[in-house]
Amino acid sequence: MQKASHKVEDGKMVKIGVDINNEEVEGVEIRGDFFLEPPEKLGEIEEKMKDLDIDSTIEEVAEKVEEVEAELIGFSHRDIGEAFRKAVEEGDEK
Amino acid sequence: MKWRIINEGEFSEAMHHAIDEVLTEKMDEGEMQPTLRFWYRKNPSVPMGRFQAFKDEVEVDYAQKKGIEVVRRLTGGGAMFAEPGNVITYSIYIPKDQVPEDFEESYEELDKFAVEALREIGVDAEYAPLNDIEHEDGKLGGAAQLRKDNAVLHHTTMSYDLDTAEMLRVLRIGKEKVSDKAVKSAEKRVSRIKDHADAERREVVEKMIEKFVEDKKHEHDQLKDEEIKRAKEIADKKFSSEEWNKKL
Repeated sequence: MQKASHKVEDGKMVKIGVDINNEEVEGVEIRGDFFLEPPEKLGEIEEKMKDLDIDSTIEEVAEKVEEVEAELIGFSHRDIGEAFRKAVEEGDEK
Repeated sequence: MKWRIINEGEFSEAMHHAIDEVLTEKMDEGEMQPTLRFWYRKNPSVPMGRFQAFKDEVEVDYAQKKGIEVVRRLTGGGAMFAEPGNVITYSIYIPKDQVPEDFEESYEELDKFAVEALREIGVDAEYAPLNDIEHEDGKLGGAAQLRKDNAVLHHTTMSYDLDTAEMLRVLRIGKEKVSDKAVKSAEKRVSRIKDHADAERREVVEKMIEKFVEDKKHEHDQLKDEEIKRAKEIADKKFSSEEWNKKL
């Protein structure tokens, strides 16, 4: 799993782990000190992000995450996109 | 609408979160009046955010050695270190239609009484978006919310006299990419009520309750036996379990 952290402007931290196998996104983990309502939707967002490919842009990631009906508080759909790009491009193997 | 004020009950960290769950549920079902509850802890603990990974936030070996109870909250936000008598935590259980829909507004409004109480005892506290209470020397505390269909849980923890050096040993605050300098700055970023006011913890809590009830009908109350009983079940099953606490 390749992991990266992205700090949102007001201070929240979005940590993303991306499991990449044969250039395919096989799994995604989103962790951090943000808020999400309803909280149960985190897993659904992570599941949706498996549809992405490793070339997906920030915009494309944001659009994919927006398909899940949830309110992001303290971070945005784009922040998830930025964290995703960072994890894919320069994530530490852990 | 008469507010219920609960300023008693010493419990484990897991129990406190279970009580939050029970009372939020009751509020959501319309089975309880709006309530303000102050927490009393039994042991040092780390309440961490619902979306945080256990091993990212906690120095696991150190916490275990010291018997520090780590509990994943119902609410998002960040990990904190808490010691009995050294922090002040309260929970507000309130009907959702009495809370601003906008999150930032709601945090500011629900913590307002506490900020005003701090100012009255001489601590220059202010609300800082999204969910912090700050002094110019650093962060005094933070809040977190959970929203149900008909109820909002809002809980806030402030440092009264926290051992910040110990906090840095327990929490992995930015440890991944950190030099000593960065750790020092994290320590500096925490501010404590007692650094700015010569008041006992009990007096600070009393002042907060005084500000809270200023414009409210209220009654002082205790937790009911059935609430404690239900919370014990939830604490055992959920907030004391690895399945919940180490899920992420």
